[in-house]
Amino acid sequence: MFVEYGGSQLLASIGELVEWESVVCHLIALVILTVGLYILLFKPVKRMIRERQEKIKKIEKENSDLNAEVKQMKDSTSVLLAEAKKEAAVIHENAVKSANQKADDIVSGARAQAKSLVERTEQELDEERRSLQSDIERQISDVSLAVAEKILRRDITPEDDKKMIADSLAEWSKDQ
Amino acid sequence: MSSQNKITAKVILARKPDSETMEKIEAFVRKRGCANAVYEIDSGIIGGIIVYIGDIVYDGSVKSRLEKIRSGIAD
Repeated sequence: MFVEYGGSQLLASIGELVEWESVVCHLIALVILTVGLYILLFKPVKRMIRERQEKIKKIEKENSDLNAEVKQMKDSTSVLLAEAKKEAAVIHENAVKSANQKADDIVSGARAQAKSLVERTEQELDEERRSLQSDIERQISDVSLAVAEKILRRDITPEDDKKMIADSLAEWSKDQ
Repeated sequence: MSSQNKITAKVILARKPDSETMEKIEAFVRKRGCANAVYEIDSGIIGGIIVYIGDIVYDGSVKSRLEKIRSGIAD
């Protein structure tokens, strides 16, 4: 059809079909609608989106701060834990040393006590032995002297007695 | 007469002495200034003689010799 009618004829046909005033009106209405939409809808939505983004950024920042804080706390906790472990190891070592020392003291004390007990017992045994020996010796001497006394009572004759008296008197006179 | 002549010697014997022994004893005590001696018989001394002259004691008894032996053993 375009081929048949040509360009000028087409424009003439459009001109007949469309009223230019209507087109202008539509354009104006479109512009007004666009401006209205821009002012009433696009800007608030854009603001809202910006606020949301800021909020998200803020949350992200808070999140990041919290993460940093958590990391710091974790590091601090690790340090504290390491120190606590070190301190616990020192305390354990000291406790073991102290316990060993105490055990050594107890053992050496018990040994000293046992040694002292043995020495005291040996000393008491020696004293008992000496006392017993002394008792036996005394008893033997008592018995021997009692026997000697009995024999002398029986065997000393008047002549023996006379001689003993004479000897004693002679000796005392010599000493004078 | 000196003051010593007033002292009486005390003589202890295990049995009664004969005259010879008594003479020897009296000679001994007279030499030590005693006027006389009193005799006492004590069989506990077993044998020998003990003479007391004042504070002085002359002990030649068998009993005292045995006691000396006993104390020597004890020491």
